[in-house]
Amino acid sequence: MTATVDFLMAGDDEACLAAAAAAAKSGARTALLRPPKRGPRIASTTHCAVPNFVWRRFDLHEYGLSLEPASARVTLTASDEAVSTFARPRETEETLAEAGVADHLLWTAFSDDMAGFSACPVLNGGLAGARSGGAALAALFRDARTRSAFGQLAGSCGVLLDDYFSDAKLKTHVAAHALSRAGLGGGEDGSAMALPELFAEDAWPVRIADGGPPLYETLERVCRNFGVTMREGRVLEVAAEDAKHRLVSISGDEKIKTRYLFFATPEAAAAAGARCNHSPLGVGGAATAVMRLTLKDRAVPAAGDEKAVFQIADDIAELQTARDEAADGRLPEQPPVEFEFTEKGDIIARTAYCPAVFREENGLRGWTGQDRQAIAARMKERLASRLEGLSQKVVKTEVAILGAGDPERKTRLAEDENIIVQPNRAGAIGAAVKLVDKVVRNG
Amino acid sequence: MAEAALQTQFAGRIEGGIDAIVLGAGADGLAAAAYLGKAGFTTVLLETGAEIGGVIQSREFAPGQLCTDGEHLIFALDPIAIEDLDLYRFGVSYASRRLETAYFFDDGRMFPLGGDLQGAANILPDEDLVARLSAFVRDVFELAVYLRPAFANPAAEVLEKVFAAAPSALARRLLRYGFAPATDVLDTMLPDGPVKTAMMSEACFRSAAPPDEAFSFMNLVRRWAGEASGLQGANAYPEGGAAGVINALRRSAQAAGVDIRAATPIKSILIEWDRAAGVELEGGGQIRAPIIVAAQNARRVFMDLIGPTGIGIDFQRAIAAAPPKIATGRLHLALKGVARDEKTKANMRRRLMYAPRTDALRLAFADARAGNIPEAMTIEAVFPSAFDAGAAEKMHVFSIMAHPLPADETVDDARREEITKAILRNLEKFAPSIEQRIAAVDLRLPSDFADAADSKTMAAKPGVLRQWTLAGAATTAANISGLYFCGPEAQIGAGLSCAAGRVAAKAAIRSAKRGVIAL
Amino acid sequence: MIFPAADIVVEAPRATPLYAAAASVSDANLWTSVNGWSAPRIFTSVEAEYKAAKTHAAIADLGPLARYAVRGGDAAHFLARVTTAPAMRLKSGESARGLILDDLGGVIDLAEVSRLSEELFLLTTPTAHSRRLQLAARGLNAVAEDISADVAALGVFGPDAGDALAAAGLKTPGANVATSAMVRGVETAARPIQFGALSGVELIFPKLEALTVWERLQRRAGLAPIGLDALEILRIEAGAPRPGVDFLSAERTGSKNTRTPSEIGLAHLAPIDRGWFNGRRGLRYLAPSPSRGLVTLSIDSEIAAPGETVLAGGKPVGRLTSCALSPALKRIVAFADVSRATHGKDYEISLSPPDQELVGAKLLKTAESALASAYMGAQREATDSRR
Repeated sequence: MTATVDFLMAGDDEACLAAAAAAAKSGARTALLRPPKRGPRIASTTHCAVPNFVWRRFDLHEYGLSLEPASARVTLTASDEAVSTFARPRETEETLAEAGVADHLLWTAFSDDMAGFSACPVLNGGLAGARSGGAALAALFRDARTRSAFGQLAGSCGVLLDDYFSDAKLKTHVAAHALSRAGLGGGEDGSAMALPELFAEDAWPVRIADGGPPLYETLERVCRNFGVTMREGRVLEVAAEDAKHRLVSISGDEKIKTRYLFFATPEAAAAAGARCNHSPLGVGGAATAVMRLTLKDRAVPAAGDEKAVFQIADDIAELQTARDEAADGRLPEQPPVEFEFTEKGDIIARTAYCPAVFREENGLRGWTGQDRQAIAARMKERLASRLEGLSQKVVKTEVAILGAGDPERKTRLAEDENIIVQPNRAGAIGAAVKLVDKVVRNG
Repeated sequence: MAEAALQTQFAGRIEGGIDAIVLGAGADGLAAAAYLGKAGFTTVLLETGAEIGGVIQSREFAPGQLCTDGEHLIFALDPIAIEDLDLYRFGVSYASRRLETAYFFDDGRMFPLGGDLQGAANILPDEDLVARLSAFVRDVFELAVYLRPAFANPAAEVLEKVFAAAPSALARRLLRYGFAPATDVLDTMLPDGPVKTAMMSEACFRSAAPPDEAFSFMNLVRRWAGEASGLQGANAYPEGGAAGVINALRRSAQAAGVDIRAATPIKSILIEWDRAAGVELEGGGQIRAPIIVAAQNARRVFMDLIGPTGIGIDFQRAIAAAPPKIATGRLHLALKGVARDEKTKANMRRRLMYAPRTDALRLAFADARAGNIPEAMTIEAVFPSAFDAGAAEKMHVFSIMAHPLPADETVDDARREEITKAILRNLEKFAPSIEQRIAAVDLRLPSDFADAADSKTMAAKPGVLRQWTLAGAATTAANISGLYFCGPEAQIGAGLSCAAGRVAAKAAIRSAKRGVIAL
Repeated sequence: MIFPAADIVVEAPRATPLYAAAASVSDANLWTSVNGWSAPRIFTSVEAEYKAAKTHAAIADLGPLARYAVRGGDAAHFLARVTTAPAMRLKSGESARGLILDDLGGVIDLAEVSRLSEELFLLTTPTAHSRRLQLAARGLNAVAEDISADVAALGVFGPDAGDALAAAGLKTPGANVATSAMVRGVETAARPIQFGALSGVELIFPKLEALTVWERLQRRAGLAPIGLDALEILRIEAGAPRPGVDFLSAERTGSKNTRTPSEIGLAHLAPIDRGWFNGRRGLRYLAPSPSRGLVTLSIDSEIAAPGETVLAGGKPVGRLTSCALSPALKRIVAFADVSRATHGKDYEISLSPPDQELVGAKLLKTAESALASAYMGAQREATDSRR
């Protein structure tokens, strides 16, 4: 028996759930395909932004959910040095001025410019699911302003930042927050596309307010209420059923006929062997390590408060080095680490600079328990270098690896107009919902 | 002395009666001048250096041993320019027109691929591989041919038209190939093995985009859009090397009545009321003309010769974008002894390419970008002496391009030594014990050409999509009426092409005919 | 100088150096935020403030505007590039108005340039342009330093502005020339400015002296302060378009909403037949012939609001962009963005509910429109004589 749906959403994160809910709410027959064996989730308190339009569409307040904006984006560039930026450009400008950063007056212009770039059609999954790739590409060259924006975005994050700022720490800070979700380096072309994601409207990260239900569970309930069919299984193969439909073989010998196979994040796509083809943000094939440290008492960073989102990075080159190491199939010596505090004071840390598979003399191999321990040790080391006395406070460490690859799996799904991959990471929820809207509109 | 006296004498002189001035006697400058001359314009070609040819120069690098800087093969020479400028008649000829490529790998294996790529797959032993490589070549070729106008002329309106008009299958492919990393496309389309490794090296050769990063695949499409002696995707060795093509271009320009003046440095381009009006010479004196075609690099043309107060603020930002941190190196070796055995002789008449493993190549790009000399690199090598009639009997010249290398701004002797050694190490992979036969070594890096008008020819090209945006900006020539730009930034992809020169000259001729420029 | 649009998102505006002085004399206590600075809307009553400025003189806090000190051997080249003001031709003490344009000739902002000495200029703009100035300075020996937060600035407007300054013991600038003087040992600069049709004087001085100068003007010269609402009427009457309200910056809007100088009625501020400025080639070669244009209207009504439809011959041709009730004309004066083809015709405004009626509107001749038409006339003559 083959089920037929309009959207098959594959994946297991908040953006997938939001995309499924959005599709179902628009009246499309929607199935959500989640992996059969799901490890324990290390629930993050801080999420990528939940834009207001998503909130309104799903009436999230009815689910008891309450979100609050993160207090700041902070980068700990050394044990006693930090750069902080805030949701409001002026507050940032003033803080930078106090810290003696010469570039503070350019901050507002920079954030305005980046927010302006986010309208460039190449961003926000703009070219994904395009009915006509040629027209989508032509649009990038149509008027001088779009062309100029695209020209800058097609370059590297490092070059774009150099064009605005002279302060090395400020550049490290912006690059770390922009690139760490995607595990990109600051020197690679196209990495500049991660910058507008930080400054787009509604892009500021939010935290689950104390005591509220986790976002994941809330969105699960939203999906059920909108009639999303929840399935378990992995995408094994995709065949063209007819001009409009794809036949997706999933684990357990089942098949689902679908109009669109939709991946709301590059991680979800990577798990099925698919890649986003039209955005540099989606190309990285790296895995992400997420770690929860349970602490016996609170750790205090040099800057920022417990409601901030933190990055640890010495300099901008470190991001590229880590990305190169991960691409080479090794664990980075010095992984850039993103972290946040839970309301209880635990630390949730992540690094997207992990190899999907490991490369050794005699070939590729998958992740082992030892690798997990090794990356956890390196992440802890970095955290301890910035948070005084952290090592003595840790009572429990949990690690999960997202997007780990399978060295045996060679087949790749080429994206076509029916297999859609949403490339953004920092603003994945909003971008996924917008992309669903676009596909619904076009189809 | 005489020259200095002459310059003093002519200081303050204003030379008129000229329709068009071309700046820079590289391939594009020569081609543009020839076009303008042929169209009946009184044309002067000004070159700062003593020789014409820009970065392509023949010189003696060891007693009795000649080498050619710049290019050593032809793979993208604009077929329209060949025809329009009668380049065959003016002396372009090919010593070998369908160079077979011998690919070498780090495990010592080798496999040859015929010069005609569309049929080349058929000789492969494995049927599945034949089918997949053929399909791959067909797909890339089809898109490459379609995109030729966009590669030749990166003006925004051309790009928009070409992209928008793409049939849906090609458009999908364009979108996919345009953004995708080479690893992504090749992993999908070809099985693991030497063929894929070879294609990976081809895709990343002379490009600044590493195999696993965005935009890197398109470089192969660009390369295969080119043709040599009428065959798509082929390589050819021109008689007399690339300098032979330069000579043909020079003859064509001279036949068209172009006044070529070498050793004539320019101080500035004169702009009057948003129109090009002429140039001011370094020694004083002006040459006035309503058309100026600039075939030097964009920084030189717009920042030095015009200056920031004569160009738009947004335009300046676009053309001053930081160049990639990856470069290609040129190594020439004079080798003692002449090969006697047939196998070696056969190899000497091939294009030799060392294709490192993909992981090593990826690492090489990471190293080069970080300013380090990579362990492994892609090597393209030919033996000009095996093609050129009358080449030395006792020695062979080995012409090598190595990629990727760090784009150092200055290189001291120690660094030069280190780079040479690294290239030789990779060369040894397929030419073992070559070191014992070396009689002379000569390394050229982009930093050696800092003064040459088109020094950027040797710098690696960014991903094609990015090149399109940069070239699209540069070729607007700051919207100065009568000024046309065909410097290295106007060319998409590497290689000796002349397409940019052709496009610039044709645009000038069109404007003059329409009366936009008053002659 | 014209204030830009008030901030959309008001986040606890900063206090200008003159805030305390202004707040102490504000009865209405009605404030808004401009460029993140607090700016008074009304002190006592709009009508009284308007009348004082028209008949006598009034003082305004100009602190929210962006100010730059431009120094360096290429300072004049730099300003002649980044603005359309003829900075190269200015003599020490002279000021000129201009526009900031992008490469294509789209208007980004207004600008006012004063030459204080050979290598020192003052640039005032409605909104901040740190990025643009950074880009424009590349390759030139010029540095633009943002001094907005370091100085206090106030404007004295009205027919009696000169007398008022003299009464306060402040040196008055000549008709066209800026002066500098020491007030209680503090360096101040005074330069003639225009606020719309009103001529006046701008005083710029170290922020620590803000209150002293303000009080002297208030006490000794008996000047009353004027708020943004009254200034808005004077601005529209003078035909000066307001950035962010009557047109949007070319940097922050799509091509469709970008306006050229002639489309906002300020062609005379960007003369393409004089010196070079950024955007001149765009205007000359790229800008399409204008299809829309800003006009100033007087509307036969005492109510009308921005956004309302403008009709000509019964057909919608545009919309109102800003409105104010003029106490002198006893009717609404307004800016409207209308189709070019309809210029010179009589208009009607379709008022929104609850009034929902059609009212007549006529072109209002303003100081600015007079300058623009004089310039356009000269342009036409030049073109004709060339033929």
